[in-house]
Amino acid sequence: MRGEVEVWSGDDLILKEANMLTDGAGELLADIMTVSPSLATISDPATQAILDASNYTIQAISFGTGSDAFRSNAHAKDDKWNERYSSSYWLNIINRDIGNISLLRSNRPDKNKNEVNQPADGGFPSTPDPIKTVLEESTDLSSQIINLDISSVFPGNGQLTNFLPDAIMSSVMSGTDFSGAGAFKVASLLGCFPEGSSVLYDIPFNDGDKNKVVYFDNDGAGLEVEITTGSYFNQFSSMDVSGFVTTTPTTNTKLGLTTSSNSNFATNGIVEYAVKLSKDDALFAHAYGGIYHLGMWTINMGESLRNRNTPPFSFSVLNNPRKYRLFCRKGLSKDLTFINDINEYEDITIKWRIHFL
Amino acid sequence: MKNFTEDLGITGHLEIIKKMSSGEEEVLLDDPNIIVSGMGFGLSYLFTANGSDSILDYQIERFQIGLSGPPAGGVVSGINQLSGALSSAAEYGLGSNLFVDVRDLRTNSTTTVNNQAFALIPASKITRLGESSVRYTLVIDEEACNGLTRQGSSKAINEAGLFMKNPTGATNPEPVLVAYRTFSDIIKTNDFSLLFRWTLNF
Repeated sequence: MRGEVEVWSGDDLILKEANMLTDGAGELLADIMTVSPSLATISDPATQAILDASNYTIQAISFGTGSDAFRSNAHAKDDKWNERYSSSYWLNIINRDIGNISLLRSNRPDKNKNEVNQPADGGFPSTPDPIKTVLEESTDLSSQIINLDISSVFPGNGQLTNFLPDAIMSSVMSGTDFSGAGAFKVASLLGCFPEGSSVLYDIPFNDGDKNKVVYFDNDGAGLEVEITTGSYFNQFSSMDVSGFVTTTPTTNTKLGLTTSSNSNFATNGIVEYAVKLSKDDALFAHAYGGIYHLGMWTINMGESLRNRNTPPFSFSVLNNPRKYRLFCRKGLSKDLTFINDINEYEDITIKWRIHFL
Repeated sequence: MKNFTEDLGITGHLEIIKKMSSGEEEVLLDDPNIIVSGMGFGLSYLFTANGSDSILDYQIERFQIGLSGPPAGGVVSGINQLSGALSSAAEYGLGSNLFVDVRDLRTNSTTTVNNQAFALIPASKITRLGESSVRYTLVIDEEACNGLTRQGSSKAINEAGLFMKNPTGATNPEPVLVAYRTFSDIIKTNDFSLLFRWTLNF
């Protein structure tokens, strides 16, 4: 067994399967074995920080879906999408520059937008391969805004990203061709996780609007599901704009990726990593094509340094100095966020154990 | 169940070359080695953040030569020490270029073996080959490991091991065996040196 991944929906175990270590794990070990000991003699704090062992351990988890899903679901728009987003129905959204509404045409084969089972589309992941360095290849969006390919400014990085929260959207769109009125549309297409529970857009419109997933069709907006708990990732600022969820030193899986081991770790060699997606994280991820990939990442020291970042690499949501290397991955044959009634999501807990002995 | 090192496919290869003072060379061994459980033991300390805070302590930077291989229980991944490691700087050769460091050997989470002699591998002899391979070049020069005896009898060297420096983060480093190999008896003399080219593929 190659380590194992457990996924829990509420109290129900919905998946328990082996993972795959990638070539990145071997590259990490070769990095470790060839760090120059002479660095220890240099008193510069940044240089000393290169030797910090935490730079060489699992530091993030991310989620992905199949390549095609990035050109469908809430990632895609068409004339009807444009019409709805420009109509008076959505005017209040536009005026508030909110990008955090997942707007998509009903993806049910029967076009029934009110049906609570709304399957994500086009999710199957590519074939498992240990040489891969990203969760999925060819994940550029196909949509344009103001006649410009979104992918020309924000190319796909192989996983579900985190552009929706207003603070993130405003910052990353600033200075790009998408700053201004187009920003919220672009963020809405990029996805993929809602605001935290503390962010509500009810001023000055005072209509209590929250982040929502909206399925619509020719005759107007249809099924709408508003968030209730909000995103844990964005409530606790644990996910950067690229979709990497960082580690937390606590044992609270809502705060980020936890690392734990029991007192017998030196004899059983088991390390457990865990993270929790809120029910609303799952709802939104589903709207953007679901979750068919999981990946755990270490810091790529060489790449981080080459990008002129100086250790210690403090995690940052907006401008993360950490460049990551894929350590192990898990591909799934069924969407982790699939559910028969999208009003009934529960928190999803991922437990990932690696056996060193 | 496969463990991490098996699943990752960490392998090793040891080439032993005999170099005569005349310049003549002879390959004595060119075979795979065995990665032992100490590799996973050490890495578990790293990934659980229960071990040393310095990445240098997880490096393989020392080795031992022994006289009593193979082990009585066979060459298995559970080996945590050499069967008959050289016991002192004098046995490694006081006139040699080897730098010998005496430390307690950690054999598992609770046990150490006191005062073991290790030969250090200079950083210049640790070479990265490609993305995930590292070569350790161990030089047993003409003055090293000569005239070894036990109970008055001449002994040949026939085992070697690579060690991780100090994964548990002990105040005084406690090395851990991570790779092991036995080989045919070599009676070492000052007529030749031995070159161990030990390559680990992670």
